[in-house]
Parts: sequence; C-alpha cells; structure tokens
Amino acid sequence: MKTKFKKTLYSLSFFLLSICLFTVPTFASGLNWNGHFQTETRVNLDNSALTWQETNLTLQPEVVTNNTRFYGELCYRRSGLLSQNNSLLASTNSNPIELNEIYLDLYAYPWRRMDLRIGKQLIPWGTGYLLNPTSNLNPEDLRDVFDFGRYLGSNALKATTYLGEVTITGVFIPVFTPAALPHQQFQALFAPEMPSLPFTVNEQKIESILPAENLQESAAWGVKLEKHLLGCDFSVSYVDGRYSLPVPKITLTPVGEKVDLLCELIHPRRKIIGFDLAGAYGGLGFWSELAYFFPEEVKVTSDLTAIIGQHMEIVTLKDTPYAKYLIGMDYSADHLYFNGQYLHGFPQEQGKDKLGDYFLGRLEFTLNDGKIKIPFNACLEVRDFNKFQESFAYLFSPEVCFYPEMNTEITLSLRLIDGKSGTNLGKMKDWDEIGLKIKYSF
Amino acid sequence: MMRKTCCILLLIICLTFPLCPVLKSQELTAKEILEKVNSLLNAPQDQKLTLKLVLIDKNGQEETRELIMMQKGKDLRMGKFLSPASQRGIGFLSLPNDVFYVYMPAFKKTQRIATRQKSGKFAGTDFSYQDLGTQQYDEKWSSRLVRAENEQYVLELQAAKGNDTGYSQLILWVSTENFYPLKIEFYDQHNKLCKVLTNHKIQKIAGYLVAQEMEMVDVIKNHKTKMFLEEVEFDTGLSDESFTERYLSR
Repeated sequence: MKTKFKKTLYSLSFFLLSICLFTVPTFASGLNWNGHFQTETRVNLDNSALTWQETNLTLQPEVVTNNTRFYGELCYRRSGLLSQNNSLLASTNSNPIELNEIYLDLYAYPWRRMDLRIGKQLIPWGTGYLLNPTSNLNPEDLRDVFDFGRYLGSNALKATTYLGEVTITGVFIPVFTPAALPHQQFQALFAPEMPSLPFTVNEQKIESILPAENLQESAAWGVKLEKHLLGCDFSVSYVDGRYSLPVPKITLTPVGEKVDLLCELIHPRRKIIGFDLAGAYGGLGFWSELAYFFPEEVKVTSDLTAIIGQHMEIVTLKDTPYAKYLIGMDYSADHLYFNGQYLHGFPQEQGKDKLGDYFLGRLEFTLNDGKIKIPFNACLEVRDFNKFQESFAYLFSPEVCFYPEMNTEITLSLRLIDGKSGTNLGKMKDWDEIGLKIKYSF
Repeated sequence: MMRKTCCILLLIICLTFPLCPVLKSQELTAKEILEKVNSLLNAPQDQKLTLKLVLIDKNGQEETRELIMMQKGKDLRMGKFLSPASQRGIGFLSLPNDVFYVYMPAFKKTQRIATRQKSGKFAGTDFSYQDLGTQQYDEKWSSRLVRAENEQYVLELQAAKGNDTGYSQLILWVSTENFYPLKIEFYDQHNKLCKVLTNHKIQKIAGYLVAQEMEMVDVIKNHKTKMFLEEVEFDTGLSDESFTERYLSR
C-alpha cells in the first residue's frame, strides 16, 4: 500500500515535470536550462582505500514570466562507498534520477501581497551558516555525512504574505518523507543508543514504520513571522511535524528465560518554536537561532512478569522540552573571510540529554584575483565541559579551490578527525580522507 | 575715441573669455558642485540597466558577466547577475540606513551583509558592494575644491565621521560643462590609492546623462573591470515594493 502511494507520488511528480517542460514553453517566451556537473572521489588516508565516489549531473529548467516562475532541479546522482575493486559497494540512492525540486511560483496571487509556491521545494529557515536549528521542515539528506546542511525537497504549499515591514510565511506539507540515511557503516552515528538490557536477547527484529498515509498522521505545517526591528532582522516560527530521523521504539516479549526484541524505527511528532536574529554591527555580521523542541514521548511498557516478576518501561525519547541554539558571526577583509559559530545540538541529536556542544569555524583566504581560495574548516565537539579531556573531538579540514576557467571549480580537500569514542566526531576518527571534487556549471 | 574704447573692451573680453571656467569654479563651492553631481546622478525617478562586465586580470585574461540593475531615487538599488552560470541569480539589495542584503541562490537565502563587507569585492569584480550601491557624495564626505583644469573640477573628498564606505578619501574629476563625474580615485584606510574609476562615452539618453562605459582599475592588484551599458530604461514607474527581499529572492 505504501509502495503504491509512493509510486503514485513519483508518477505524479514526473507527470508534473513533463507537463511543465512541454507545455510551459509554449505559453512563455523562454525556457532556460542551467545546471552543473560534479564528480567527487575520496581516499582514506590510513589504508589508501577509495571511500567515496559521486557523480552528479543536475539540470535546472526555469521559465520566468511577470507573475509566475517555474523551476525544476532534475538530478542524476550516483554516489556511495567504494569496495576494494572500486565498484559501488552500496549506492546511497536506489534511484539515480531524482527530482530535488520542482515548483511553480505564483506572484501576487491570490492577492497582491501574497506569493504562492506549489510543488517540491526546499524551505530553508534560519539565519546560520549551513547549520540551522530552526530549519525543520525538509528532511535531512545525510547520504554524504560530511556534506552538512543538505536537505531533501518536500512536496509543499508555501504562502508568503507581505504586510508592510512584516512578512508571514505559512507552509503545509501533506506527505511525510523520512531523512535519507547514509550507508550502513555510518548509520551508527545517527542511530540512537539502545538501552542495555539485563537479559539475553533471543531474537531481534528491526522494522521501519512510517506514519499512516492520511493528513492527520502524515502532514506537517509551519508558520513564520519576520520583522525588521532596531536594525536587525527578527523572526519567530512554529512547526508541527515529525522527526525525519527515526527513533527506536523497543518492545520486549519473554520467551522462556530470554526475550524477543522488536525495535520499531518510528518518527514521533514534535512541535518546535523557533527564534531567529540577523544583523550587522560595524564590520561584523552576526546571527543567532533558538529552536525549542516539544517532543512526543516514545515509551513502551513490556510485560516481563514471567522473567523478572514485573513490567519494564523503556523510554527512548523523553517528552521533556529541549532547546537547540546557534550563535554566529562573520568578518571579511580584503583577501580574508572568517566565520565562527557555536552550536548546541547537532541536527541528528534528539532529546535533552543527547545534545552536544560544537564550535565551528571557517577561515578563507582568496588569492590570485579570486582564482584560488584556501579555506580552513574546523569543528570542536565537547560532550561535557567538566570532563573536557575525556569528551572532546575535533575535525580539521583545509581545502584548496582552484577556478581555472569561468564556471569551473576544482577542490582538493583534506579531512582529519580525532576524538574520544563517546563523541559523534570520535566515531568517525577512522575516516581521515583526502578528496578531489570537480564542478562545472553551465 | 569711442571706436578705440570699444576695441579695447572687445580685446579685454576676448582675453578673459578662456578664464571663464575658472571664474565659474570660483563661484561654485565644492559642496555646491557635489550637490549638482548628486542631482545629476539621481535625476531619473527610476532606472533599469542591463550591464556587461568584463573582468581583465594582469595577464590580460578576460571573464564576462552580465548584470541587471534597478534604481529608484537615491536610496534604493537592486542588482542581479544573469551570467556566468556559476554566479547566475546572485543578487544584492541596497536600502537606506546602510541596510544591505545579498541573495545566494545556492543556499536559497537572503543574507544581511555587514557594513564593512560592503567594501569587499562584489562577485569577483573590482566594484565593491558599496561602489554598486547608491552614490551619495554630499552626506558622507567633507569636500574641498582643489582646482579647475581642462574643463574639469578636481575635488577632494575626505571621509566624514561615521563614514563606513571603506575608503578614507576620494578624488573626483567632474565635468565643468555638465557636472558628470569623469574619474574617481579611491584611497584605502591607509590613504593609499587603491582603485580608479573612469567614465567613458557619456551621452544623453531619454534626457538623462549616462556613462555608456565605466572602467574600474584596481591599481594594487593590476586588475580591472569594464562595465558596458547594454540597455537602459528610465522612469518606468518602479514601485518601492520592487526593492524588497521579496523581489530580491525571485
């Protein structure tokens, strides 16, 4: 039933694309095709194994008239980890052709102060650089774990109303889409910790459960109010939706002296109140985000009287509200750009006691009339400031970007990670890599 | 006798005629000249421009970019790149009180730009965000008329207190004939000459004076950007609403 529902959605999307591509040009004066080609290969520094290969061809059809804009992003993408014989060990995407976005903008419709966007779209809220605690409408695209800030498009209706200095945006997403997870070798990073059990597990079963296909269960919505005040841009938002990353729901069934374990990967509901701020003072730009989460509790009470003489309650997500926040600033001089951010709670971290602290920075030098850029990226993760020595990890990633011709970008990157095992980055410490990426825009 | 007096008078007039511009310059103060420059540059109620930018590096290698720009009054300006593909859709919005936004299509976001970043290069050209913004030579600068030569006023503009353009001084060459700025030298915070802007092919279009060609030379990096005016429309009735984030992100 679910497969049929998805097939219908895909068919509908392709139908829409076809209609748009073949009929819109007859009504509008010009269809423009833009896009880019990108290829990336990464090699593990420890064992010289090829670890990542991505080939990506993105086509962006666009038709603009006075009151409408059609835009699509059709992508052929093959990516994944490589085996020793260099074949794709496991592609992270089963269908290499993806529609990242396809939407129609109706400007000044149904009244002059409102713009509508209908179709599959990205809805990037928040003011931060790449990491946005208040951007919670699109599911995360974690297929490449080192490419922060990628999201999947959502089929949505977005209405933006402009009332003088106040802008109100409303979004409705009828169908839930789960996050795109990375290859198995990385899934441990995103899988929540399983509770330790004082029993022997007889049989373990893992099931992925998606919300029922009706509006009440599947839909998400959000509203945002923005205003320019005291020289700064403020916004307050509210989102009611589901976690796009799964949360385990664990049920134990006694079988003799052992238990059968059923782990259902579900997507509980969450309500989020968000606040954003962006401004500038002198030579500094600054921004801040605060997202206050109200999660739905994930709790199962299993009857284990046959083994321990009582019921057992396993809570994998508490309903205690928690906050994720970000503070950042940037500065630029002639050949230099710097931005620094402090983040409490990475996108995949869920629950009050699971949030880590991250200090992120990017220092970028521009040389040779912009034909060479040398960015240094760094991240320090701290799980417990009181036990810093035992709970920190870091990532350091210098890059050299060459722009030999207009529209051509060649990036050589190095990534070094080290840290304690209890940290998120520490779990990736065997993934020191060197990479080469080529991008051509047209 | 009468005839002799008339001849002498005529001779005096003929001899002093070439000095008229100097006398004229002595009549006008630097502030008055700048006011005329400002009213000339901001004369159209609004304007839509299509510009071709050619970036030329020290080895003579060229890169071409296309830009559309709209301006209303002296405070509102918006621009967007049409090409190259890697920069297509990058836009900027300049509003009063030093409010400046940039739209980055790759992130699908509008970003507020800090004041000092406005003096940084705009998308690889030799123009800064500030240079592309509206020109206000009367409010942020204290001015001095240095000299008048070759039918040009030469003005020295020192950054006034609170001026955050990133420049400490400007030297302006202004036509005595029509008050159009012909050349501007830009000096950095260390009072070192950093850029020179030259306006060429100044012509009247639809009743307004416009430079059809501008050249900005970065004298430190030996890099220049030529800006060619491809199309221009004046007084099309652009509304203030066209200069908002709503239109910038379209």
